[in-house]
Amino acid sequence: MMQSEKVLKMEAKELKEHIARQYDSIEKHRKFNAFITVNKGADRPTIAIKDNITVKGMRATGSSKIIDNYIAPYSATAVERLKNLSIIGKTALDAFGTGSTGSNSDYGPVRNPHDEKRVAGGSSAGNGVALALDMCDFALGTDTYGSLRSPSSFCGVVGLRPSYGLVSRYGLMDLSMSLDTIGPMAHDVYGAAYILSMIVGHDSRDCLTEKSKKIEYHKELDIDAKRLTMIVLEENDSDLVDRKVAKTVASAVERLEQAGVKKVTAKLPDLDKSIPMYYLSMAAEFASAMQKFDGLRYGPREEGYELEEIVSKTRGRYLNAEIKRRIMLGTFVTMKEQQSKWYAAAIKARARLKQEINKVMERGDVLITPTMPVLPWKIEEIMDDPLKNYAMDLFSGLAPIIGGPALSVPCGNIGELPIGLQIGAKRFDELKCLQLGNLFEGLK
Amino acid sequence: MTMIGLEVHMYPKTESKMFCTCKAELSDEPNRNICPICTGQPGSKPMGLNRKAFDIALAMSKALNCKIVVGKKVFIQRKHYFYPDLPNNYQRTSEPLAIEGMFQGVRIRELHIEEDPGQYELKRGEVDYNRCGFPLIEIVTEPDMKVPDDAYKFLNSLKEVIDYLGIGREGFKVDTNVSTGGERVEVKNVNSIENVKRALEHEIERQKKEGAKRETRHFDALFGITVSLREKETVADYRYMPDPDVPPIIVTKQMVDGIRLPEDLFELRKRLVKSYKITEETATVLTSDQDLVKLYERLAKIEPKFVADWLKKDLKGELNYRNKSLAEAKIDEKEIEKLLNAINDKKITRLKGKDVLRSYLDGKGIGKGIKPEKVSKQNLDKAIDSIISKNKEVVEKYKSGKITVLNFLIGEVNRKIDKAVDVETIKKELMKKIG
Repeated sequence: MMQSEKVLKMEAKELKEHIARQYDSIEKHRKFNAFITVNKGADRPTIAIKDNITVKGMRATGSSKIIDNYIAPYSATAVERLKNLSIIGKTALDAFGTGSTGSNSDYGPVRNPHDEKRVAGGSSAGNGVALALDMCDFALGTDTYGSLRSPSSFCGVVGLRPSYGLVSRYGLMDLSMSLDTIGPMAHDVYGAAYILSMIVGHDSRDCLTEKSKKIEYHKELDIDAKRLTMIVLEENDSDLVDRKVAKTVASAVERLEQAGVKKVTAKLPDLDKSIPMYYLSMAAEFASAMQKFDGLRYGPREEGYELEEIVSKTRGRYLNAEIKRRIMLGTFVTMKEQQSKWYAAAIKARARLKQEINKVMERGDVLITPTMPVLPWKIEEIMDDPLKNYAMDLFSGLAPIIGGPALSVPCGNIGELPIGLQIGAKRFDELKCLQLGNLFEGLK
Repeated sequence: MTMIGLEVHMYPKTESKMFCTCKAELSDEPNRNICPICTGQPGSKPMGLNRKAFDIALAMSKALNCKIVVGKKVFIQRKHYFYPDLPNNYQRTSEPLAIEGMFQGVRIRELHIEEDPGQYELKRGEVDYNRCGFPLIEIVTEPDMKVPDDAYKFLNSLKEVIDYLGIGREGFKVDTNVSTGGERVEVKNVNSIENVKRALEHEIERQKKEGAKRETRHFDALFGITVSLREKETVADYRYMPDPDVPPIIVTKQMVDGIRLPEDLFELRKRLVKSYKITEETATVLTSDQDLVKLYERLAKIEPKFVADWLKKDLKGELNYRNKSLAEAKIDEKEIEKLLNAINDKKITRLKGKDVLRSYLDGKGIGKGIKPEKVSKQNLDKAIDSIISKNKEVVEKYKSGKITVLNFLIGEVNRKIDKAVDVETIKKELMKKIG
């Protein structure tokens, strides 16, 4: 029985001691900067909520000082749908999701649970740490372009980005609205499937959610390996990928093959072009979403005589450098005289990539890649090199571009550092990702 | 040559706001009808576009003889600017739903829908978001009007059509564009038809004196003048982009066909005057509500002029008093027909009929009220004698020349006999007795 299943079946006394140990771990590991707010008094299996998701009556900072004191007046739909769980706290992220490392939180860089000098992955960094260091049983993260898979990989836990439109985004603070999703993170595939089953479904408050058939994912995880075909990308072994990572993933593929999963290979030569495409369209949407943070409505305010002065002083002081960089880029690419050149071009490139990836997807049930092309870097190494930083998103875009699901499961270690295997599928085929992930977990 | 163009914002009559289920209702209590969506709370998302507002926009497009953009993806755009009454610091506004129309001799450039911002009280630094998220329909004309009165007439006709179709709330917000030969000047946020005329008159005079540069001006209704807001060179780039949270609208032929407009208002008026021999003015009142004119056409057979007058004065008056439309009052045509027949056949007086109507609108049946209550000549005489003897002083006043007090005496007699005799008869008999 996997860890998640055990927790859900614990007797009251055992559960109480289990939760007490989680609170102890939170206290003991404060320097990892995983939590922004801790909720006392949990008495059911615990879930951590990323701080860019609202919980009624709780502080929600999005890890940005610009809304340092914001108390959410409503709960996200996904949070409302959680049953028989206690929210143990709100976790840190790269402010508003702007990063794949966890270092861009205004509440201190989130540290890797296996090597505190290294990054935890992000943006759902706090969740990755909280799970790895047993501070919670489950977590609710968000994923725009790898945000919950990157920390799952770097921290050695499981995370699922659901298909766009499967889980309501109502209550998720915007990063790139056409790509943002809310998804589960857990100790194992069963745990991720268990949370997913609760939070899926149409919501009138997110008019892009689909009316789909409700599946109890955690009850349908078993599958005959022979019934699945995996597509393995040739790019998994390209010079954009760390050698050790490539090797570990190749060995995972081998094990799956031995278990009976059919294998086909495919190529995606334009994969690296997806990164500038993402940064352009994301920045455009992000700059628009960030307009509302002006110091007049939420968070701290700088004084001034005129509206313009108040707004620019407040934003100048409380938005961090990476947020400003993206707002400036986004503002530039949506300016009247620039739009057609940049923003429109990015939208076009995205449509073309979507076609290409979908074509590859036709060849099998699941797409196998590394979650992250590299091992977690040292915190100071990447802080001042945004381009190097952005390159970590190489495989992250496959799922968001086609609106499909992608699961990250641990598939080995290099020293202390874990490596994640990414399992993608066609839109609304999360069950296949979870089934293959569950199968893989059983092989170890 | 003076050229005037208008951007008219009308409020479609909907129950809820544009992108959430909050009531589209103003309130004396600030921030009463608000939610996380219309206040733009971090993480909130717009719900799907208000279908009623969209349907009304299609109806307006038809009424203004526009081409509706069938089959094209119409995106909801974000228009970015910073202002305290705008919770997201961007306003959602659709691409044109209809183009190239014609109304009252003025070409319509386009029509689209957008959301209204809240109300910002500059002096107190307070914002009321009750109005925030109300649907708006913006109608943009070509600069086809030449004098302020053209704009006045255009807006009046527009208002009449909106009332007739029953699809709008009170009030317009109008931006005007005026050029008197030089640069085009925009005068923004004029909030009534009357004020549009005043603003234009002032602006044209001003341009003649001062000349015109490309700028945006504000109309100060209190002083009746326009004041410069900003010069065009400093105008912000709104960075329009499609809202990623709202799917584009694709207008289908079925949607357009689903919107059926009644007979053209101006044709209808002409026809009413001609076929029922009523005045232009009466026809205008009857067509202020399409349900009223429908009722009229069904009941006119009783006696066209009388029915028109009764609907216009008695019914409309009573509905106005109750602040209800005909549809809201849920009137049974058959009952009204009974009542009108009774009055027309002189079974009851028109005055008594008004009582019957009131109690009917209060929820009572009409049948009982119109039982003819014949008052014999003898009883009328008796009633008149009694009123004269009770009001000796008033009678003296009348005799000494104060003729208006007669109305008081008639009223008293009327009350005594429960309005069963028409006013003219009472007056005649009363005067006979007083001499």
